[in-house]
Amino acid sequence: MSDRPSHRPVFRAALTAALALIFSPALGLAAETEFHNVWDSWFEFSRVLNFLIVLFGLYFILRKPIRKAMDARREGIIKAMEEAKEARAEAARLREEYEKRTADLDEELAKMRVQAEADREALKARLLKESAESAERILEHARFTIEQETKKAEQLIRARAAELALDLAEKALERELGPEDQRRFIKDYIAKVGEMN
Amino acid sequence: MTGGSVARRYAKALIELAAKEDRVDAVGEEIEQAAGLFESSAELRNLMFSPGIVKDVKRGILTELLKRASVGELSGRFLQLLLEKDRLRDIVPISAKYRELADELNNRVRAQVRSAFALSDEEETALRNQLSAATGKEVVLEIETDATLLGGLKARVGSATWDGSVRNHLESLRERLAGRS
Repeated sequence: MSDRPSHRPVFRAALTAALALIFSPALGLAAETEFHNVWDSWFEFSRVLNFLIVLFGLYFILRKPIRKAMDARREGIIKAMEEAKEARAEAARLREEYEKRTADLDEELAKMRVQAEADREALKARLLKESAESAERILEHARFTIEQETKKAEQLIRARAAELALDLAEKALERELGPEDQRRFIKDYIAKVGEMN
Repeated sequence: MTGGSVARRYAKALIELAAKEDRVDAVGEEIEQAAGLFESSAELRNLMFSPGIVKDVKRGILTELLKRASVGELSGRFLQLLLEKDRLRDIVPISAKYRELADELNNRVRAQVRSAFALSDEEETALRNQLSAATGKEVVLEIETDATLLGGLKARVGSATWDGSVRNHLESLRERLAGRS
């Protein structure tokens, strides 16, 4: 047996409706003709018969296109329902994906916040370390400079003091050295001249 | 040809001739005397070195000088040769070179001595002997008095210096005091 739904009840209903439409004027007309006693049964019968012939002709002509149209309509509805179902599924999938992305975004933001905090702390530590090293270098340089300047000043003072002392000594020698001293110098020199460098 | 090489060439030739006559030191002294004469007299230099004065005039002046200075024959001929060769203006470096060659020939060195106080003869002899012992050569002292030394002496022989002056002691002391850390 075919799965295709039967259209016979529809047809029957259509036929009944057609007949009712056909006979209702005829019954009306018959009621009128009681007064006139004029009713051409054969004429009415031929009209009904013609109608039926036309109806059956229409049925045989239109049966297949109608059925085809009905099938197409049914398939269209089924397809529309399937598409609606797929659209709902797609919407659900998109919503789920969006929610997932939103959840991932929050997680990513949290990670970025943590990383930014870590970077900030690292930068802070590095800057502090560099500042401390720089300060130490400056201090070391300052210590070295002070030490060098102190040494220079000490040497300058010592040289100046030596110069003054020796100037005094020179003047004293010029004043005090007599011929005996000079002879003694000469004698000492001659005694040691070969050994001196 | 440079002045140094000219002086050396002339001095060497002269010392070879003087050695043959065994008059190396005497000729050296005569040449040194003549060089001193030219060195000390600007007037003489102007006359003898001027290209504007004819050679006969220069010859006459030189002959007169040689007579007055009682210069030996070899030295006289040498000075005349220098005049003829227009090398008389090199007499001073020639004399110096001759002295160097003569010192070498006689195994002799010259000591430039500066003393704050004049040396006695005994002191000079003692110093010469000491320097001879130190150098292994005969030493000729060229002594100069220099009061700036304050006391003591300073002797230089060639590149060797013996400084025993009070000035040197003071300078050493000054350096030690200034450089001590």
